[in-house]
Amino acid sequence: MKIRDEARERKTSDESILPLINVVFLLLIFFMIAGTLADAELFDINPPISESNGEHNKDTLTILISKNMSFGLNNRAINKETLLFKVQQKMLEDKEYTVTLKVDNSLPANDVVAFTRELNQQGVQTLRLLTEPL
Amino acid sequence: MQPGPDNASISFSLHHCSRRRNIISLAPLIDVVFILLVFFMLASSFMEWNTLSLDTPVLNNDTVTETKPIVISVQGDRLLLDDQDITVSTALSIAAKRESQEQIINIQPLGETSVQQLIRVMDQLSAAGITPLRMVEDPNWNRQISNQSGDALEN
Repeated sequence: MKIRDEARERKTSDESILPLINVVFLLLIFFMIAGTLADAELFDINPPISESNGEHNKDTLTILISKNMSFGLNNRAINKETLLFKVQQKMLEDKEYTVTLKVDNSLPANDVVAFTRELNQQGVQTLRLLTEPL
Repeated sequence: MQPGPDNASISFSLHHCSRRRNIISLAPLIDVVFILLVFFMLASSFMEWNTLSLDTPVLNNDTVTETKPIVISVQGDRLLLDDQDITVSTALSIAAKRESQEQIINIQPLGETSVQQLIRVMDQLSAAGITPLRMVEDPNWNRQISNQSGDALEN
């Protein structure tokens, strides 16, 4: 009698855990499908918040500018001269290639405007600024 | 002829076996699934980035219109037109009343104005449908930097 009670208890505890597993599985599948794995960021950059709704195409040359004016190209640290040279090389290959700027919102805007002018001198025609939605 | 096991003993061993397998496999499965769940929750990002087209003076050099562009300066939270403070609504009405729709509006950050403050003004103007916007530099900006570094050297 006692053995049968224990067996029943064990069975019920096993069965009561099944909905939990179902929910956890559903959550797991949701996060696996809906979430994209976040890339490790080279710099801690907070892009400016904007109402703009231009699409972000990931297949571009992404230039990072950190708070202290350090530069990064496609998530790798680089100095400004090499960066501009690489941009120029890319523009010689494909004039229409899009360059995306990811800059920190606290940077002086004049620095960014001056840099965009330098990029234009390297032949960049399509330049976009990465922004964070409201 | 060997005597086969009776039905009762078969059913008992099957029952016993399935119960055991159940008990053994469930707990590690839950552990692994939980760990996977925590991993995906921490590692995934749902942030959707947007982009804003940046038009620069050099780009438009070949399409410069004869009309002089309107220059709206942004100094921190203030808006300036010809060195006079204006409100956003004034800026919008000036932009709406300009001679032609082709006339470009230059947005010029002054001094230490941050990217965020500039983008906010550009958002307000483009939300009102004022389109040929471009950013121009403050001509005094580099001089300010050199002054600051000069001061630092003196100190």
